Amino acid sequence: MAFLAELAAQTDELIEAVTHAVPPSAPKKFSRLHATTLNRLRNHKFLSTNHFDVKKQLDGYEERFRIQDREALADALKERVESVYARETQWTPELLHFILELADKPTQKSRLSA
Amino acid sequence: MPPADERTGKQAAAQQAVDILHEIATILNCQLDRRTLSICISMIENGVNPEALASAVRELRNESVDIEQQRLAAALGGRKRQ
Repeated sequence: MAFLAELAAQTDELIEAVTHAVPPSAPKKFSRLHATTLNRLRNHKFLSTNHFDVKKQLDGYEERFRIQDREALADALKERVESVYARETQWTPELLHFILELADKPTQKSRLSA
Repeated sequence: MPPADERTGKQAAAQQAVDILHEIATILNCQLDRRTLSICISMIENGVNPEALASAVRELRNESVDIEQQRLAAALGGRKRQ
């Protein structure tokens, strides 16, 4: 029960952070978003994270940056990934998996100054 | 190490971990700000599936575009009536 209450509170925070919708200004919209998001998080058919696949995808991005002659980005990614794995926790692969899921054409769009 | 120092040390380590993950997210063009990423990290550490969470964030971003359009339409409608 505590888990559900915490998840519900975190879902509200997530909705506010992403949509900038605030409950008092749009109560109906907010409660609909809350219900659909919570449902999406609780009832899904995704498999658990494949740790090897996560590492392979990150290596793949590094290689693609190098192929496109974007050595600085490749080095920056490699350095940070090594740093994350150096302080690896139970959830490190899942956190990297989440980031990889939201990656948006980094080899075309990423800039070091961004 | 006294408990207060230990807590501060742990907080600093957690902060550093968020910083590094945020930098990776920026390199991979995830369009995640620090606050959203911190919330997502807490959710994953509570056992939420990362792929389901990513799909929820994508859906919320779509909703966010709709909300913004509605806000603009309401603002323009209000200006026309004046």
